[in-house]
Amino acid sequence: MNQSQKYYGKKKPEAFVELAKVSRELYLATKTAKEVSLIAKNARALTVRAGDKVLGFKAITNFIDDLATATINLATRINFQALEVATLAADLQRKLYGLEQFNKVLSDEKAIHRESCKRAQQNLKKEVERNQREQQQKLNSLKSNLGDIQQEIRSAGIIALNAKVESAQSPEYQASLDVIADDILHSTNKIKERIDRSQSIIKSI
Amino acid sequence: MESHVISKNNQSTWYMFGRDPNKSEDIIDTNQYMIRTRSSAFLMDPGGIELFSTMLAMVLRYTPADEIHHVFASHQDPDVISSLGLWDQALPGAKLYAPWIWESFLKHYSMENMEYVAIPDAGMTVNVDGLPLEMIPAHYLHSSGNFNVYDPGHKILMSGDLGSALEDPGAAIFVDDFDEHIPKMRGFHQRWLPSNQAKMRWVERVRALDIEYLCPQHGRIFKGENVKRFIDWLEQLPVGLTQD
Repeated sequence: MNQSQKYYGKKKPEAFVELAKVSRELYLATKTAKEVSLIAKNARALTVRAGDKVLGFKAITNFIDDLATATINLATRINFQALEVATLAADLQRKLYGLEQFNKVLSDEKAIHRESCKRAQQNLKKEVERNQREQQQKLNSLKSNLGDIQQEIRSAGIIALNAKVESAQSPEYQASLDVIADDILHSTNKIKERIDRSQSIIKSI
Repeated sequence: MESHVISKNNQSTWYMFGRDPNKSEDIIDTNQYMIRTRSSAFLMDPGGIELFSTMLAMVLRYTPADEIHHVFASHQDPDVISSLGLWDQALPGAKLYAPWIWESFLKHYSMENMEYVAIPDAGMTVNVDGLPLEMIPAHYLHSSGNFNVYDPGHKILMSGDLGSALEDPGAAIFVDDFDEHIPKMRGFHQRWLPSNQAKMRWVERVRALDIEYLCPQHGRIFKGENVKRFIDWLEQLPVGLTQD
């Protein structure tokens, strides 16, 4: 078993690759959230035209637009965090490789001055431990933020369902409002899938 | 990896490290060199990342790590210095002497502790424990920023890629039959060296030096009369030729 496996366990030597995947999922979730925001803005325009007949729907679209904006901001922030952890993980991989090399030298009895690189090996070991602590803290924060975003998306899904109920109250606009509600529902489901996928990747690290 | 003493006097010893039997077949064999003085060491072209632990263990047979005060990189190639990030950990107080043009490139290998001493185009003299070592310009041979190291005390020129040959594993350390050696180095020089003009400048420059050993980064070392024969051979060799 090499150093990398000792520190990460067999499943996790490529944590920085997994985190890059999280970053991709969050980027795509952000794009979808922007689409939701656009749909909500279009819906708002429609509700202005429809006036008092669709007041309930109007409130819902306003809420969804705000939620989409919050989702974009949060996902962008989490994405930044994911990239930070990915950088730390890549750096750790390099340091573990270095540690492995120093350990080889320290076990070579022919290298009579081998003890002279002991300090470098110990410094590197400390850096590895510091990196691991920092990574753990950032991963915890990442998990917590992903939990927040999951909660918001769940709310958005429920509200989108309410939008369908509201559209039934305005027969004149029901067809248009149904399309909007379906689009929002579909998009929030897509975001939810990406966030769930991110959560499960993070859990595996 | 083998180690050989190339030359030794009261002040210093030149070591060559190479011919690593454990090296992967698909990477080129490299020669690393070190000058050991009484209280210091100067490590030249310490090699690729894959041979770092072997190389460090070899070096530590002759010197403690904290006496390796100087590392030299003739140019930026991975077989020359991709181990930099690890030497940086091993020798945090050392200086890296390398061409000025490669400073911001070499740091991609990671360098957080060592001090980068940028060698100007015209070269410089580095004092190692009272031993003056001259950094001789060899630009465009093959790298656009490139230096050799000349030790006037031992009359040794560490010539980097100049004089390099593609050899079978386990080749001898010194060139014994120059004519037999030519086919092993012709293609290398014609393909890797881009400029006849740069080559002629180098020939002129090193002819002015008193050289007993010419030590390339790949292949065998030239000694005595073979040094002159190599310089004469290179002078008449058209370079910069491609296969198409």
